[in-house]
Amino acid sequence: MGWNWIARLAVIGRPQMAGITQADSRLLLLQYQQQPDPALLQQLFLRYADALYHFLLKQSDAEMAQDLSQQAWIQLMLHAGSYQGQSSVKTWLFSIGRNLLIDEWRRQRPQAEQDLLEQLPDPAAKPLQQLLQAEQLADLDQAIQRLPAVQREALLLQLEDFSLAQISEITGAGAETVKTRLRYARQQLQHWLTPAEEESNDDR
Amino acid sequence: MTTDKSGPLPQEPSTESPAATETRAAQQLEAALRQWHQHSKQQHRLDSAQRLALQQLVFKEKPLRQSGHWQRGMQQMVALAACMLVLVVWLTPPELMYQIEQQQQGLYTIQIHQLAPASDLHPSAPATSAPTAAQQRQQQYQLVYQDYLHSQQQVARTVAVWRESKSDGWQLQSCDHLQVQVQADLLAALKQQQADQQQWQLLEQSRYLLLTTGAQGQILALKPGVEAPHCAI
Repeated sequence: MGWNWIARLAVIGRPQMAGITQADSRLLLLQYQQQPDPALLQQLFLRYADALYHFLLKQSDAEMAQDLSQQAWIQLMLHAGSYQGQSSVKTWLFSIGRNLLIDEWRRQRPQAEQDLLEQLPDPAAKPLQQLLQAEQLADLDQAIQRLPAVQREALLLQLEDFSLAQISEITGAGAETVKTRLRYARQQLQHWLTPAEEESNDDR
Repeated sequence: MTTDKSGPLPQEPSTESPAATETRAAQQLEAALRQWHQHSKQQHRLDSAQRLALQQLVFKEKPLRQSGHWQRGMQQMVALAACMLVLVVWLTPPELMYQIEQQQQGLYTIQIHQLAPASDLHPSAPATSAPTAAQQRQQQYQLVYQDYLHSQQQVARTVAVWRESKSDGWQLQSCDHLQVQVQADLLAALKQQQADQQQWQLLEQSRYLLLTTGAQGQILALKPGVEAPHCAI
């Protein structure tokens, strides 16, 4: 039992990236400032569209993720002139997407915004026992969904290979706060995904 | 990135130290998270129809702000100038108007530029219903706008002048025996409207100025001069 279920997950290779680097992305956007050719943005789109969509999807639903993706790209295009090149294009794009997501939360559920940001979802949403018995990838997905929004967000960004500083920049939270969120997220996942039996053995 | 290709993990003996167990669990969680993320991203990609729709939606939009830095700078300056114009309209006291009084003293023509109460310039009109605040603002705007149009239409004239500070303002003198007295109240108003106070300080320090006047003799601009006026003998 325990972590053996992990081994059953298919090992999936890293998704193939469009052949441009972070530095290229920066140059592309700076070049777009001088000459607003949509083909330049298309290259950025090819590189980051899926990642942004996934980041938004895991915190909303397919329809909203698509809608917010669209808005984020439009925002990026409209405000390309204000890009200074200090942060990476991906960091900037995710910041835009994140702000749009929070705006959407506020619009849809103004009272629940604080809950979304700070509070734990109801642990009874899925019985713990059921989760502990499951050995599927979907269980980890569900466990991640159960994390508080700020922890889930930090975790998703880290898995997207953003550094602590970049996560801090995107979320507007201090680096220490980000670290704490990531630690709590992992602790919580460990707690949920480790069978009670094994936990009690470890405690001995 | 960490991926686990080693197959099912062997069960660890229960004698493993708590620290080792914790490390192992953390590593396994990390590997699982990475795998989950990659798998999830592959599963949840924009499909081709969505991608196409999104690209069409996004990239058919015409960028609103795609101009270069200098163009944006120009736009900001125009916006700033418009704001200043509005500000001038709002700040100009309604009862004071720019007045030029002309006197002849021997060879010299003396112009006195000052702010004077409007009532001094226009005899009081028969009492009518008082204009509303909005009407007053509209009238002021019309006046300023007319002045602006006028100044744009008329050929401006620029002359080099000597500047001398007096207790009641500045005295400017040109080669053609024109003396212009700019009264202190008008100077104060001009200074107040000057966005760049450093520029104004340059004016105050400069011995020579370039005076630009409109067709009616009104001062349109004052600039620091770099050299004394060259007068023909």
